[in-house]
Parts: sequence; structure tokens; C-alpha cells
Amino acid sequence: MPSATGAALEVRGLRKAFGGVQAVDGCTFAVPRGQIAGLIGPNGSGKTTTFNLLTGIVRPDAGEIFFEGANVAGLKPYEIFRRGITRTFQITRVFREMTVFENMLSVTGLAVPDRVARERAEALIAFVNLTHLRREYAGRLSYGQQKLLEFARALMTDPALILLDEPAAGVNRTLLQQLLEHIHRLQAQGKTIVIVEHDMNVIMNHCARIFVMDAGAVIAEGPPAAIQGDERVIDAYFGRRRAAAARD
Amino acid sequence: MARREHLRNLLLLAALLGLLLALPGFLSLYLRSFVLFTMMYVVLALSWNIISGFTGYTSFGHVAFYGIGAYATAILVADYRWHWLPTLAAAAVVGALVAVAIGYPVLRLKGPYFAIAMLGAAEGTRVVATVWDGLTHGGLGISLPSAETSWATYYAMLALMGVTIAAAYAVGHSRIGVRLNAIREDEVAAEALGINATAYKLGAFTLSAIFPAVAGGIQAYKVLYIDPPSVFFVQITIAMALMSMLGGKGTVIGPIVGAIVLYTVQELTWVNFPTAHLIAYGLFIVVVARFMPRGLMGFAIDRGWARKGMVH
Amino acid sequence: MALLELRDVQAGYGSIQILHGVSLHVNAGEVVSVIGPNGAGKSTTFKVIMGFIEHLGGEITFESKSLVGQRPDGVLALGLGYVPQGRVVFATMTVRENLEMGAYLERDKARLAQSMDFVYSLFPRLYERRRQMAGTMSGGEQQMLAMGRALMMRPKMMMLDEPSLGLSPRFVDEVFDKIVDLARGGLTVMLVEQNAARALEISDRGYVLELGRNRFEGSGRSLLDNPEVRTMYLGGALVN
Repeated sequence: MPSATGAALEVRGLRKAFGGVQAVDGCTFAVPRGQIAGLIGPNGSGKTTTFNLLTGIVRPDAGEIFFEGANVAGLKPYEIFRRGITRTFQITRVFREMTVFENMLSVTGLAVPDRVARERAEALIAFVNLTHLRREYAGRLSYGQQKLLEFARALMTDPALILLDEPAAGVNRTLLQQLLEHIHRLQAQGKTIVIVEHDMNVIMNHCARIFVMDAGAVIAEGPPAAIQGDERVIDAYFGRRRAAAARD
Repeated sequence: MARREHLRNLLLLAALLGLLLALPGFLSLYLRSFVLFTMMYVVLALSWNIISGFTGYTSFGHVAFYGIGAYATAILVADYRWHWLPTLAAAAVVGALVAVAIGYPVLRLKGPYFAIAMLGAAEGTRVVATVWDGLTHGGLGISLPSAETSWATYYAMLALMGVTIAAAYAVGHSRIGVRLNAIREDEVAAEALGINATAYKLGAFTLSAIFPAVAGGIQAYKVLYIDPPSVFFVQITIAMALMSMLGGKGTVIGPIVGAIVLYTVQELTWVNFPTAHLIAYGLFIVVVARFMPRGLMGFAIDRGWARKGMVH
Repeated sequence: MALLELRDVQAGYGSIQILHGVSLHVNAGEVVSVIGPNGAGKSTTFKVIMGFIEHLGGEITFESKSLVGQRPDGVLALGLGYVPQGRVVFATMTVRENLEMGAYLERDKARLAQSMDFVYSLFPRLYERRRQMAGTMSGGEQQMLAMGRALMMRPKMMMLDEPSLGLSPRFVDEVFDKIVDLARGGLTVMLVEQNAARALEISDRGYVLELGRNRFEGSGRSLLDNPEVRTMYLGGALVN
């Protein structure tokens, strides 16, 4: 049943197994509207698979993903995009042999006249300060510029929910600062943002609510201060000692 | 691209077509044939480029559609006494249907697997044409009754070339073309931006099959005798691919220029080096591949003579 | 006398520098762990020692010989064994063939046979499965195979990169037990692990890296009990 709360995205009982391994084991959480949320967890916690389930790259074995009143679990990536959920990639995936401008125009589902689409593309290119490169092949841009391009491209449809896949990966401090500023600006506009990250400084300093996964499920959630002090979270990251594991 | 630019290009195309329209009267039989074949290769190279250049699914079996079109026309004219012109429409329809039937499974394959599968498909159609002799007369081939002068096929090919150029231009310089390019560059990322890759690929593939099919139909009527080896000739696929790549895969002008240049070189070497023409032809290709790996258009873009990108 | 020593090592990938001056040493017969949160540079440390990535500064010596500029096969020939992350086995080859590949540099057939016996004695399960295709084994067994393969060159020291990654708890126990056995047999071991607690439990000493730099060091026990080390995994001070 669709959610009546102020949740932008509600995940219920997601399950996914690969071969004999239960990667996601009853994952449940609700992302509040208009906030920046973080999804974290140690390697093997299932957070990457959960992210892939949210973006349609993988189909769940069970469970629901509610977005704007509809269950989007199991939809293909292009269908999920058209519903208003946009994602970026950990390693940039810009279209290298196409110009910056063409990269922006490759986005579908705009339902606006061509002229408006082009104007929006130009505006977003300016938003990330790439106007002087709009006719250059995206493959010739520096890594940081490609990151910005991918970010701008994801905003063409003015999505309500943006999923960021390790935005800090391979990015220097200055560019990261720029990206985070853009992210905060988007949040101020009312958008909901979910960040999957390993970089704890980014998560702890920029997310209002954090969801921690371990062994395929959400084991803790709350604001950064609460998460940092949560014994279960510390154990998940630091590792359980053998005696303690025997107790469980 | 401003409306003005599109208009200018349209006028250029009209001028070119007009010139070619007026030409036959001034040409010898041999030259008329030469121009016809050149136009045919423009059609083939541009069509191949739609699926292999724009969309990045390199097909090594496009001759299948050419052969199917040739047979469609030959069978309808020889066995069912159709007039020649409507058979071209039939060739287009049959080509499209076969494209959908082959494309649906084969487009799931990537890169080299797709290329080889298409090669297999082309060989498969050749075998079917040889074996299904109830329909195709098998190895005996089909003879068509001759009634037209060479001018009719010339005009038909000219019209086909005009349509093909217009279609390739409309696709290549539009946001549809941008989406096909996106699929070529990174299909996963394209899907993440709302592009239904399956639908777009199938559409591009079908479009790329229609024009070669009609070209095959026209050729059947020109040469008046076809059999499986002559129409399912792997050299035709190679020529399509080479011309498109030589001119610049992924552009619109590229395949046009590539077809004209390569076919002309092929003819010149044949005429001037009758014993060694294949070597001379091959040498030309090697030199171009070495010094202009992205084709003539790629070379021009790198030099700044042409713009980067297809949509501005 | 340190077997392996790193002094102020800097390394990276192309334009991205990961290690900004890491120092550590491993004495003969010790088990040393390198731990730290994601992005700390743990795996990168191994890779620069092995010569897989660009060395940008600092000294790396093994038995007093410099490893800087050495290619990986040169490093192996000097007596360093390496088990990379992710249970990298040749899936379509048998266990025996995998082990033979591990001794690729060994020309002497007699010594090869001896090494094979040595590894089989350490890993009886591998002997049982010697004709089985490596790709059909469980994760834990594959990890054993990867370790056995590294031992085929009879290294003086073995470096293991995240041996517990992706393994179920039961196999994690087995793998760590095996490492302890090897250490007791006199092998020097250096370990990079995400499961910091388990790694420190079996280590004589440990180094904690953060963002490509040394942060803590000490005995395994003292690092285990240090509350700062535990909370470090969850990020620095809150700025907002």
C-alpha cells in the first residue's frame, strides 16, 4: 500500500539473492522528502545491490519500492528514469564521442518543445560552468569536468529524487566542495537526494539522515551524531570479534 | 543547427539531385552504369551507417537485406507478372519484416558477437535462397523479362538515394540520432537517461534494412538475372562497411563521400591496373586507415574544417 | 632487523595520489595488519610494494634491497608472496594446475614437486580436490587455493589483501585459522583487512591508515582496545 507519510522513497522488505548468496535480506527504510540522506555500510553489506535495485539494474526477488505512490520495483532503468528518479554513476559515464551539448540533449522524457530543451541544456551547462566547453567532445574533458557534466545531465528532467553513486570517488577536495554545494542548492529547491558513499566525512557532514546496512538489511538509522555513536554500526565497520560473533 | 542551415543543406541536396537527373543524356552507357552503381553504394553505405555508425552495432551481414530485396522484385516480376515499380515497395516491406525478425534476437548481442551473428544471418539467407527453390528457383537463379531502358533504373536509384540521404540526415542531425549515439557510447548510461535502447536499436536496424532492400530490387531489374551467390555477395557488405568507415562512420556526409571516393578508386584501379587492381585497391585502403583512422570526416573535424558533433 | 620496510612512501594512479607518505616495517616472523577505513590506501600500499602502480616517492626495501622500480615478477623472485584481493583463481584450470601456475618462475621440476607437496601438506583439502576445477569450489576453498598458489614460490613473506572479503563467517574463521597456522610455521605475514577486529586479533602489530597517511600504530591488542581506532571508521569530527 502506498505511503501516506512524508517519505519521498519507501523501500519495504527488499530481497535479492545471487546464486547462493543473499545479498539483500529484507531491506526496509523510508527516505524523508526534501532531505539529503546517506546510505552506507561496509563492503558486502548489500548497499550496492540495494542501489542497483533502486535504479532498475537488478530485479528484486521480493519487496517493494514506493515512489510517488507507485511501486517501481522491477522496472527497467529507463522506466524508472521516466518516473522521475535520476541517478549518477560512480565512475563517470559520459558519452565520450559526443559533445557536451549533445550529452545534455540525449536525455529523454522531457515533454517540452525542442527550443525549451535546448535552453534548459544551456542553462544547466552554465550551472556547472562548462559553457566554454559546450562544443567539445565529452571524452576530452578532465575527470572533474566529466563528473560535473554527468551531474548536470542528470538534472535535465528536473527530477524529484536524485540517487548519487559515490559522488566523492576519485574526486579532489575542491571539486568535491563544488559538487556538495550544488547538492545543497538542489536540496534547498525541494529535491530529495540519496547518497551512497564510503567517504565518511561527506556522509557525516552533509546528510540529515543516514541509513546503515549490514548483511543485507538496515541495522541502524538516524542523524549523523547518533550513527557515529551507535555500537552496532561501529561493530559493522570495525568487524566483530570472534568471541562476540559466537555470542550472536 | 539553425533552420537556415537545414534549408541550405536541403537546397544543396536538391541541386545535387537535379544535376544527376539531367545527367543521363550526356553520358555513355558505361558512365550511366558507373553513376548508378555509385548512387547505389551511397545508399548502402548510408544505410549501414545508421545501425553501425550511429548506433554502434556493427553489422557484417547487411547484404542479406540487399539480397532479399533483389529476390522480392525478381520473384514478383518473373513469377507473378507484377510491374517492376510496385515490387520495390514490396521489397521494402519484406526487408523491414525480416529486419524485425532477425533484429529482435540478434540485437541482444554485443559488439563482435552481433557482427558475427549478422554474418551468419546473411549466409543463412543465401542458403535459404539456394535451398527453397520452390520460391527462389534455387541455384538456377531468376531471369527477369527485359522491357525498360537503363534510364528507368537510373532514375529509380536516384530517387532512392535522395530518400536515403534525407532519412539519414533527419535521423543523424536530430535528437533521435543523439539517442542512437548515446546507445553506441554507453548503453547502460543511455538506459539510465530514459532511452529505451531495445526499441531504438530495433528501429534503427529496421530503417537500415529498408533502403538496401529497395536497392537490391532495382539492381535485380537492372541486371535482369540474379542467383544466390551474386546477390548475397559478401563483398557488398565489406564495401558498405569500408565506404562508411573511410568517409567517417557516424556522420551523414561521411558515407556519401566514402562511397563516391572508394567506388571511383575501385573502378579506376580496375581500369588502369587490370592485373593488380585488388592490390592497388587494398593499398589505398591501408594508406587511408593508417593516416586517417577516423575517416575523411574525422580528419576534417580534427583539422577544424568541420564541426564536432551532429546536433548544435 | 626489518624484513620489509617502507619509509615515507608516496604512490598513486596517474594524476590521483593515494599514499601521501606511509611508513611501516615488518620484522621476520611477525604478523602485521594494515587496517583503516575505505579509501585509506591499504590495498594501494600492497600494489606499490609489488610494483603494480606508480611509485612517486619514498623508500621500499625488502631484506635491504630496494623494490622501487622493480617489476612484479622481480619482486616475487626476491621472496615476497602476494595474494590479491578477490580470490583470483584460474577458474577453468584444476587446483593442481593453479598451483603449478603459482610456481611459474620455478624451472627445477624437483623443486616444483617439493613445493607442491609442501602446499598439499598445509592444505589437505586442496590435495583432496587437486583434480577439481577451481571455478567449482566454494569461496573459502578458493581463498585457500589462492594462498597455496602464493606459497608455491616458497616466499619468505606473504602479503594477503583482504582475505576475508566476500566470505561467509564460517570461511572467515577457517581463513584466519590458516593464517595463524602459517605464521606459527615461521612465515612472515602482512595483512590488509577490512575486518579490522579479526585481523588485529591474530596480529603482533598493526598500522592504521587514514587517507593515505599513518594514523595509529601499536601492538594488535593495544589497537583493538583503543576506542579512537574503533570510532575512526565512522568519520572525523562533525563540522556542521
